[in-house]
Amino acid sequence: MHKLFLSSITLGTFIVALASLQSCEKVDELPTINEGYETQYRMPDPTALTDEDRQVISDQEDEYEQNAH
Amino acid sequence: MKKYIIIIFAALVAVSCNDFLDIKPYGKEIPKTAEDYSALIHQLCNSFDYGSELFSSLSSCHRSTQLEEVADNGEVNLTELPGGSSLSSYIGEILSGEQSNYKSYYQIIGICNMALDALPHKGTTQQERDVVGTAYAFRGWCYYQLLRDFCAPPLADDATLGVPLVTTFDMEAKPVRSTLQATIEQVEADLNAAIACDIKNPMFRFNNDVCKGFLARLYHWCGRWSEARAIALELLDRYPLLQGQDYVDMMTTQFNLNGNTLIKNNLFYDSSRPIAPLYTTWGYRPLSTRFVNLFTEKDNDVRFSMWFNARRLSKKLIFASLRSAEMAFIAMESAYHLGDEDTALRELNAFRRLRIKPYTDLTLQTCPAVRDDEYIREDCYGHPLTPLLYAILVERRKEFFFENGDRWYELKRNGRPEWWVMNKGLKYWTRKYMYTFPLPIQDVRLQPGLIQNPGYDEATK
Repeated sequence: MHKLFLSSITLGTFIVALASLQSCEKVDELPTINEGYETQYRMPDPTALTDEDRQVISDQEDEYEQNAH
Repeated sequence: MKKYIIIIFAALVAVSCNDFLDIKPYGKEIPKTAEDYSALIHQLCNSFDYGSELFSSLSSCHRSTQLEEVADNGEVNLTELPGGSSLSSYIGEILSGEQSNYKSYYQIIGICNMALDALPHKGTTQQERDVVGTAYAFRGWCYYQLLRDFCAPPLADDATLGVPLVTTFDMEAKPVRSTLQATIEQVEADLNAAIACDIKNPMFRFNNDVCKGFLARLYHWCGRWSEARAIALELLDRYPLLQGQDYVDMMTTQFNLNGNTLIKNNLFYDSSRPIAPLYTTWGYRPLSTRFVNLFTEKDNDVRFSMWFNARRLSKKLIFASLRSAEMAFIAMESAYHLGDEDTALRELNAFRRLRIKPYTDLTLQTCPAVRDDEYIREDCYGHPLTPLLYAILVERRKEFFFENGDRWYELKRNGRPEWWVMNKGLKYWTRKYMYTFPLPIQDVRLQPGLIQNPGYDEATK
């Protein structure tokens, strides 16, 4: 009985040791959190140009072509 | 029995995680001596000189360019594609990236705190004083940059929050935001502490005049006009304004500290961060008529042909520096806000006389009215611009084009105007809240009590 008990303890120790050997690696205690983490701020959506806006841009383009050479 | 004990013991010893209790940081040295901290601070200076590492996006030529892209001197609507596609169109494109800059500033602050915690206050030898003084200077500089980027302009109605203040090295610290006033006082205290150390070694860059220059900038930003003017005049006396060939030589030299330049970021060329591509991409965005038409004297103004060509493409060298001309504008605007318009006008004319030949003095009656296409319509107090103040701001805009992101900060300081640009057929607005950059998302989410700036409610991956 005594011998059986000690054999069980020894076997158990080897199993635990084997498990430790498998898992004894450099544990990354603080892994990078990627899942569910936002990184960018959401900006307001752009809008379509109105006819007035297009005219402003067209005027700028015309002025540039005429005067910058 | 003994046999079993030995076997069990051997099994446990042989396979225990032998590095479980290992706390030695392999490959890293913990600074101990004044020489160690000197090397640490010198490394900061080196990065500052090359505009590299932590400083690559903080105050380098790249940063000057980036802020110029999102200001209004260039005409975004006329950007030629695809060559100009790497140029940002408006501030919204770079706002998320400011989170990295925020972290970089605090990394530098952390390094400075490490040195300041270890070394005696003010130091006991000149070497220690140089190191301690430079640590204070860098920390003050970082908090000044954080103040300008992540806080509302101090004279605005919504200016209440400062930034978290960390003045000792503590990796576990999670401070919340201080008040705006406390942040301003921190910058002032650090720069004054640096001045008290009287840094002598030129390798550490932040001598007393440089620190005073930054103090003048701080006071100007915060509307402390008397103090700003006093320092500005003191520095102008020691570093007089240049004109003629001396001015041209200073403004056409990229990698040198010459003329009346007190300090320059990107003092040296860094091949890993070349500046040449910046000039290339700006060849695809003409300057705006809002800017170009300010040069009413055309070729009589030495800057007209130095800054851009006939196609309105920029030719100016990109700088991130502190030079005397900025002190001149601080002095004249301070005089204006102190109610001394005659002095402000006299100093404005004195400055313009150095740049424009032949020159006819402006008078209060002949100062031009605010142009219809000008985005800045009000001063730092929210009052409508007067012709004299407009003339001062215009001259500053002309002088500091492509330097220090000055136009962006002037837009922020004077009313935070809103305007739109067209990019790929769509309309993008620069809104008032965008002038105050967002704190990092993760910090706000993880730190209880850390208040985010308004307008940044939604985030994406």
